[in-house]
Amino acid sequence: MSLLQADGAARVRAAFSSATDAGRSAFVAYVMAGFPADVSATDAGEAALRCGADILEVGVPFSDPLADGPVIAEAARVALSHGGGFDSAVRMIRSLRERGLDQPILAMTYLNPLLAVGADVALRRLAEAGCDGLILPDLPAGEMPGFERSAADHGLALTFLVAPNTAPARMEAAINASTGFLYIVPLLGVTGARDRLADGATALLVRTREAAGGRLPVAAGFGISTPEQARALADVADGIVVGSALVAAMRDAGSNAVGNFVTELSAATQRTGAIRCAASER
Amino acid sequence: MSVVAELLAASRARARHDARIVPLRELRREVNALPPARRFEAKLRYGDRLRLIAEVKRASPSAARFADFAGVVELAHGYAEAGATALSILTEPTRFGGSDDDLRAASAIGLPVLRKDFTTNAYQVWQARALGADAVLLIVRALPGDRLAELLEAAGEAGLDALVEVHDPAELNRALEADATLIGVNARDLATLETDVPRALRLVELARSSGATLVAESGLGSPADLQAAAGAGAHAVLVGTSLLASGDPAAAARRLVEAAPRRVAVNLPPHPSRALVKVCGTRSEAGVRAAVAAGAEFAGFVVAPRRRRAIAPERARDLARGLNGGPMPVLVFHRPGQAEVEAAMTDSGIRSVQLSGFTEPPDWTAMLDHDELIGVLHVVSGVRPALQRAEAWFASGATQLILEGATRREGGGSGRQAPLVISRRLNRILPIGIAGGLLPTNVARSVAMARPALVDASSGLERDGEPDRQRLRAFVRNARRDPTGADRVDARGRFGRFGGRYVPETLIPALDQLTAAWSAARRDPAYIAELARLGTDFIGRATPIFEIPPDALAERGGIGQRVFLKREDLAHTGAHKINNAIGQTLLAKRMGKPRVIAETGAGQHGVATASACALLGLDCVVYMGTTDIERQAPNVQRMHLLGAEVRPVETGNGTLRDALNEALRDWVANVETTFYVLGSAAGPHPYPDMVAELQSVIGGEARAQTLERLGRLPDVAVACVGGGSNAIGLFRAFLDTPTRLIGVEAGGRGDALGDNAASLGLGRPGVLHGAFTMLTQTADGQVVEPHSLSAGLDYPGVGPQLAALAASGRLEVERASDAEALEALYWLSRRCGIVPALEPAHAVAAALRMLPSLAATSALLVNLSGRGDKDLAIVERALPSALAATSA
Repeated sequence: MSLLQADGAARVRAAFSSATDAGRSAFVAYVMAGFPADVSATDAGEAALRCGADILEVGVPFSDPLADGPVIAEAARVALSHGGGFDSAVRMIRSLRERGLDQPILAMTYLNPLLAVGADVALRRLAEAGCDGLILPDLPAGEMPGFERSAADHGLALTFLVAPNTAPARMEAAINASTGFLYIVPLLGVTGARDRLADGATALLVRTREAAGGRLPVAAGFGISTPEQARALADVADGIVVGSALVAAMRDAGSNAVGNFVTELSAATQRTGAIRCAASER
Repeated sequence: MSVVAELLAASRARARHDARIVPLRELRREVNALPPARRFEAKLRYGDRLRLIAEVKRASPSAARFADFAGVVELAHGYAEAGATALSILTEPTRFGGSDDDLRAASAIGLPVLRKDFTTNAYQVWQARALGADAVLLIVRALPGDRLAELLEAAGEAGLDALVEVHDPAELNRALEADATLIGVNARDLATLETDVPRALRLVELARSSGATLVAESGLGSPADLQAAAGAGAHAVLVGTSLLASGDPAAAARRLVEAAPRRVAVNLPPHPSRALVKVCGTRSEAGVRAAVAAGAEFAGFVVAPRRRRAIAPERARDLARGLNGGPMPVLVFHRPGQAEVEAAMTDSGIRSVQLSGFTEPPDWTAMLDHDELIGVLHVVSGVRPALQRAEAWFASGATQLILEGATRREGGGSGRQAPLVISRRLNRILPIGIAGGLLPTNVARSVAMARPALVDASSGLERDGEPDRQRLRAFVRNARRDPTGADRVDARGRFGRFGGRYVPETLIPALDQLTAAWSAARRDPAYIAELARLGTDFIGRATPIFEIPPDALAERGGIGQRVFLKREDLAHTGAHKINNAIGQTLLAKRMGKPRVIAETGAGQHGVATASACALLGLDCVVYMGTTDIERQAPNVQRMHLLGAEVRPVETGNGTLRDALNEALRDWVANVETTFYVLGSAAGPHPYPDMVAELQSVIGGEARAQTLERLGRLPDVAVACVGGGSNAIGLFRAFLDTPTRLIGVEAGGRGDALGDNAASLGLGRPGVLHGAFTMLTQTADGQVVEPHSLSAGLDYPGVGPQLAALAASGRLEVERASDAEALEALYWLSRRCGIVPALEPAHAVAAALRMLPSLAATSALLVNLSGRGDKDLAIVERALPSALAATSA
């Protein structure tokens, strides 16, 4: 079974490599499954992938999203209010594959919806739907080793998070446990737009990429909401993740607006400096 | 390659693959955190009729795929309703179409489950247990050399029964030599797939004298077959194909169950959930007090003449008075005669006896008019012979057995121990204790290995000929270590499988820092002294215990039972929450964090934290849901007065859970400067352990107070459970005692999801607020807002240690409804002049409700965790209808 599946980690890394080859930082777009409804969320995902996103994160609505700010928390509430959840995320990923979209898709989910289904069953269903990997904001590296190995067995990439206060040993653990890319949260706090980038975001990215030493790509997310902010980090990050700002666009103006905004944001990931992506050297 | 060889090769490949995902070491850890497996062999062996093991399989090499396979759960339910005793689940995927998921699903039905697969190594044995199996199949033909004995031992160690399958006399001999107790005779030849039932039944008959539990397998389908199997001596039949090919497997199973020939049932004493403790050789008042204080179940007085530590029966009578209804007194004899025993019983007035030195139970035991009769067995070469002797003792009226080292001729008190694995395997089948050489230092390991029904603490605990109080306490504590790990936190921040740290990476450094600071502080005499000083001077500790007047209890069906309230409502700020708030804010101060945040539901933790911050000069922000702000207005005003900022939380339903989410978000953003004072024994490690320890002052005091007041420990301790900090604070001091622990959850207005806050009783495991614990949640893992009239209980999760204790069976879980809590609040106010908070009113309600079910001599300890001032508005509004409802 697992042998027949694609290697999600390799597909995720390849997406970063192609972006690097094109002189860009990869653009990772986040769309909440089931928000505001199943079909429109799928439309938004398609729009993002057709308008320049290299990778799509599909958010799984959860009742207690403690790493998320008000925009995503509210979107989750709306999605849940009409029966959204893990199943709707699986359906959305399957629909995107049926619509012929081939880029890597990652599920961004809290742990509990997976545990409720049974971790192994949940991972199998995600893999069968065409998912390439997962990001779990409430699962630190090493907390559930069996889960990490089970994900690998199903061909799913795992991405762990690194924060500004992450100690070197923990950073090393996150790097070792991550198989897709490493997710840098450049600020202390939850998801959501900020007026300006956190102080030290650039330094953190540089430091983390050094620690990763080319073993895997390093992307930045949380608090990035404008093309200017994306542009400011493009030179030092292998990838840029935008979530809340796209969810807000979806809320205010629908999936076409998501596509247009992704076009703008992904254009801003074109690099100005002559930096070589560490991950592409492999 | 033959079919069997192919199946074995595939099985080995699967095990190799699975071991890469979950290595054996992790698998063993997982299994050790599980509650005991259901009894499989015992159910077959001691039934009142020939038992049916009904098989679930999707296909078989001999009969191909079963066309109308209904699904594992449907089929297993059908078998259960038809009266099958156990299930056999084929997990072999290549030719039987089975899977591990089938086993998991079938295990949830509730019947004992056999994993039927081609087991080739120990990994698969442990894996069977992890998947929910209670027994594993070992095929003799597939296990050459010592492999069979190795896997039998592995099964014993994993706490599983092993059905050892044989096909011919040579294989039967191998099974018996390997000391199998449960033997299946397969009528089907695995090489040719041909079935010969008469031949198989001749083999069953041949095995009859071995004392093994016997199962006839394959080719049986008619009532006549069952008669023949029973006649040959089988205890059970395993039937699969004939059921599955019948068109209606459940109906076919029912026909077999109804046709099953009767047998003589054997009644055995129940297995205790934890090892009982017997202190032996008590001969002084100090020894009696030590046995009482340590919480032993039995105190043995040696009355055998000429033996060490022997005393006269009259002396035993005097000493037994000091037991005060705590430990049960037992007269201990070595090879006595009937007259000697009867005379000693008369002279001492003690009605329980222990007899050692006999190979077979003496024939006069049936004539004794005894309470407990404890037989001492000396270990013999294997499990089967020990089993037969144990059964003879139980048949002679024994109520407890102890297995002791065999080599000394004199027996009793020889200081040797039976091989632990023999005890482990015996205890899967019948309850039996261990004795000999047990010390505080080795008893925990011995109990973990042997899982005995009883441990006998003997001469090793004496110092200068007197029982040593501290050593005895340590012995009992270690003997009662929870086998699932529920009684203490491990290095990974877990209680058994519950707990952990499921938080954003940003919080990990803060939790690491907190863990280090806490572990330094709890050992620092300066911190301990400051905590104690503030405990006394600021909080007003120790809080008293108050006995509800007997005439008041009589109104509630009391017939002499005694109920003590632990008066945490008298603690400063009106509830137990201050114990934790002082401890954590002192820690914040030590760590140099100027800002403190807290979440609050009922407002008690908010007020406590605000008070502590005012005293210690810390900035204080309290997150509180808007619903709670409304229903707990007086506490909001108090927090304001104490200088805290109360931040309203409007998300969700505006209750405790939303406040906790918001406090965690604040902490993530301000982690460098901020100390999060979590109010319940919940959340990520180290909070559950730290809060429990800070609250364990409640139980520590209460244990000493009840011992002082009653001369013994209470029989029952009751506390309400929301997050559970007052409950775990009380219960921790009693984990190593025989005291029943009862957690009372908010039953709200009913058992439907969302109508209560019963995460332990009605929830399912999951991750919330940083811990793996029990949650009120939907089938797809969304946390459901709980309901309780009491703001302090309506939390959708529960502290992980309480979840672990409930899973291990140590904690009993009850519910009290909104109306019951209100009625109890009213009653306690009117009858005792104490207005409790709504939260502990749930505990009072449950205690009053259970009174009639308890012996007249019972003593209950109820944690009255807070006072009711804050609830007056709710009470005024809701009381009339609640009183109408409860009196109706």
